[in-house]
Amino acid sequence: MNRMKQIRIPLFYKLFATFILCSTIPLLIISSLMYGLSVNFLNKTIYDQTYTNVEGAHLRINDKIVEYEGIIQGIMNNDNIIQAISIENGHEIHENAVYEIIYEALIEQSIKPVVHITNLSGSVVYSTTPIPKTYIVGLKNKWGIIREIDRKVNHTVIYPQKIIYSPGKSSIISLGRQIINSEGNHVGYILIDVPREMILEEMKAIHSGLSLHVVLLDNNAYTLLDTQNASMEGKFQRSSYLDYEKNLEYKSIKDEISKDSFLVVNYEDAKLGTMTIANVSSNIFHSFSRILGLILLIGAIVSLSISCIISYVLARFISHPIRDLISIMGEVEEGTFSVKASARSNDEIGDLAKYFNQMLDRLNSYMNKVIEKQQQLRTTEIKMLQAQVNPHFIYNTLDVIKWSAKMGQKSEVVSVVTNLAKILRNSIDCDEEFVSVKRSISFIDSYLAIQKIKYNNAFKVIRNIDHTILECKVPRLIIQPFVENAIVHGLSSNSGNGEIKINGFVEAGIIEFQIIDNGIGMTLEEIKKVSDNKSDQHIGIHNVDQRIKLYYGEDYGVHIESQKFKGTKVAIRLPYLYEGETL
Amino acid sequence: MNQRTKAIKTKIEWKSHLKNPRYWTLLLIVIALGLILFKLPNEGVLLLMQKEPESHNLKIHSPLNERIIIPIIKEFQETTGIQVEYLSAGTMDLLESLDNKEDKYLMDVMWGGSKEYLNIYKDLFEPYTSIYNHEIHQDYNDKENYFLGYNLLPIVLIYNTKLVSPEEAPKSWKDILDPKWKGKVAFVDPSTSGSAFIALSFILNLGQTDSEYNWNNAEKLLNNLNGKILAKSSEVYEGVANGDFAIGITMEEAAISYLHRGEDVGIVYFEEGTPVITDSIALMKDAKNKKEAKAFIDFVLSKKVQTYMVDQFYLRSIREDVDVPMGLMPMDELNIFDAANLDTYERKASVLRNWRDMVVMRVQDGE
Repeated sequence: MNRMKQIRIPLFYKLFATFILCSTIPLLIISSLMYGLSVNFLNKTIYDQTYTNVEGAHLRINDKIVEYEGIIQGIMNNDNIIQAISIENGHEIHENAVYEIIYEALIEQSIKPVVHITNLSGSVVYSTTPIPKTYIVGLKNKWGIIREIDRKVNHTVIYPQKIIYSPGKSSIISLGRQIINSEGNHVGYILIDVPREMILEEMKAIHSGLSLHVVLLDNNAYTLLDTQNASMEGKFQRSSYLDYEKNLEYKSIKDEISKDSFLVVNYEDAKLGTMTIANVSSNIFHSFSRILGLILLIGAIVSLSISCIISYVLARFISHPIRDLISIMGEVEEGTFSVKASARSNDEIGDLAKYFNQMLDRLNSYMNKVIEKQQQLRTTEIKMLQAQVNPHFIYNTLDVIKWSAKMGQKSEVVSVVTNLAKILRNSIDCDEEFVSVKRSISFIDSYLAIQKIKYNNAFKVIRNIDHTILECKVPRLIIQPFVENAIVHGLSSNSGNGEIKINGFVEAGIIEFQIIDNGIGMTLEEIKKVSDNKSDQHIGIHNVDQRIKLYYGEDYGVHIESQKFKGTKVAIRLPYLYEGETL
Repeated sequence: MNQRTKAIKTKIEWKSHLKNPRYWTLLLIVIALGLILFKLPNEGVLLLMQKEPESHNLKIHSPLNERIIIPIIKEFQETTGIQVEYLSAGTMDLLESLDNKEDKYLMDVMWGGSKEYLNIYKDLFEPYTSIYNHEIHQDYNDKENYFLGYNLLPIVLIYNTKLVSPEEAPKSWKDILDPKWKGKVAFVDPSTSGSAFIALSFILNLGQTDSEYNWNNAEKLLNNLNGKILAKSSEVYEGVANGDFAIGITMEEAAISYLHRGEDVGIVYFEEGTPVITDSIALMKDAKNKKEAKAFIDFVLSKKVQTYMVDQFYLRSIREDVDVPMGLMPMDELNIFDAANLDTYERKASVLRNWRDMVVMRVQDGE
């Protein structure tokens, strides 16, 4: 069941995918890291630098403001000034003297701020530049900076407001303070207008090569300074218009930042009470990160293509031998045993191929052996069958019967005929390859009975069979050939002293049959000749040995010992097996 | 044999990976890299404008000139701490947005627009009695206080002193219809300018014999305009001051400002009567910041601000305890023609359509 649900993904694709992943993941990680880190580094560096610059500019501006505050202190405590604006004795001080004091205080300043000194109503005014209407109105109505000054008595007020004096000359912040006379009465005001030029110069120093848009706002979103859109100065950042043209002109910093901003630095100046917004627009950095991104992308594509090719080649290289092996195994399965797997690579797959080949060889040789054994068995059995019904033997036996009958030896005739019948019945009855020892011996007895009569009791037979082996199964006709041999060849020249001993016993799990005669014996060469397969006359002997070896293995078989003129001993060795048992 | 059996057992159970400390260190490194990768420090994006949530800002729509709006709003924000957002647009555009308002919330306060105009949209406003109600000249207010007047704007004739001598200058509405002023009259399109609409209304009512408007007068006026109808009110006094036109119809405060600036202009108050626009301020019924809106209305009507408007902009205050701008005739000396007597406001659409048709016909006639 499980196998059906599994999707088959060939090894090649698994390898290919693995290789691609292994090559692209490091690539992705490294390039993202590089991109991210360099962009981060850049961001941070630029932010820090811009912030430091803005801070520096503000510190310098603060220093200037402190100088202006010093100027205010100097002037407001000057008795001549106080007198000049005091209503009572105003006429006694000549205005030149007043301006001398003012310009003396401004002498250090390279960019001169505008200074106004007024009495309470604005009827007496000393100004370095004609006082704007807004101050006169402000004095009358306690409006704007005047209101602030009156609120924060004894403090110098810093008030954001844009005043345009003339084209190109304007102020964006004003300082002011009450002028108090020695009795502690409020007699007038001193106002200093900080030139836009001064602030702008400090802000310009921030730029340092980046395209920076700096906007200076107060707490109510009133624009004091806008380095790029001067038309926004003196307006609020939160205004809106219905007129299309006006909307185009109006450029709030918030809109700009939402549309195009790389980095924004916000700086609060506590002394001025302002918020500076520096917007680094993204042009350079977009191009930079775009180029960086492009380089990384191209690099990624190139390396990806290369790794694809390499992965493909490698995956094929590795998976190919396995595929070959599988196809060869397929052929073997279909019955072609003559194939061989190529065991070229020196790794586990090569080992697999090598062992597969070995296994195949072993299989082949094993199968060949089995076939061979079967063939041999067939041949042997056929020969055995042939040996069984030996025409010579029947002819000779019939001859014996004839002569015995001629001589009127009734009992001999009966005996021979009976025994012949037994022998023939044994031969016909060839269902089983294995017969009991008992039956084999009974067959030998019949044979011997006939031979005794034939040879006229020329020899003696001593049988000694261990009764424990009587029921053992042995191959048929293994003893008879040797007995025949002993009689026919061994005792042919003896006269009456011939003796054949037939022993059967079991020893150490091996059944041994011995046929010992005291005949003429054989030389070693003759033994060899007898054991040879080729000789037609001695088929039976070789046949027995072969059959035993085929059935039981090389450890068993027939052994012939002989001494010329002394005798021959044939030993047949078989394993001791009961009925049903197999080796 | 051994090599073969060893090869079979190389597969490691995955659970044993968990016990391996090397596995954990590798995992930690990967996580650390991932964090560095994706962490994008984005400091300093806090914007001033985003500090306050939008809805707490007081929203004001005003047709006033920005030079008037900005200082007053600046002072308001600084003294009360209430943050303001304003939309500046022409009167007609603003009124149109009121037409198309439906249920949308547009603003809290409508600051500007004559009371005749605001009366049309009365049902969009909520009545509010200012804390300075007692100081206000009651003649100029809506009785129910749906909208409150804060400035009085007389409509005057402005003339270029270099082109016209004081004797030659027109004295009455009728005078400007005289063909001798053909091509020399600066006049704004009444469909965009409130002051021009009042002027037109006055002209249409002039010498009215029956209930119909005197479109004859309108014809005469158009003859004198000679195809040049200006788009913005500012173009009238600018045009007269720089000599493009000899005479023009404009608001007193603009003419006075130019006079005080030293431009070559002179002012005439029409004989038949001086229409006075009562510039009014109204609280929207669906205002979201009513408390702040009321504070603003009171601010505008306060003596301080009213005096400031007089001193700085030559606007006439609605308050009885505030003097008129220096050098100007007090209200009771002006021959004021109450625009409420003009019923053209109710028929604004048809009046303007007629005017437009007349203009178009002239263009087709090849003027």
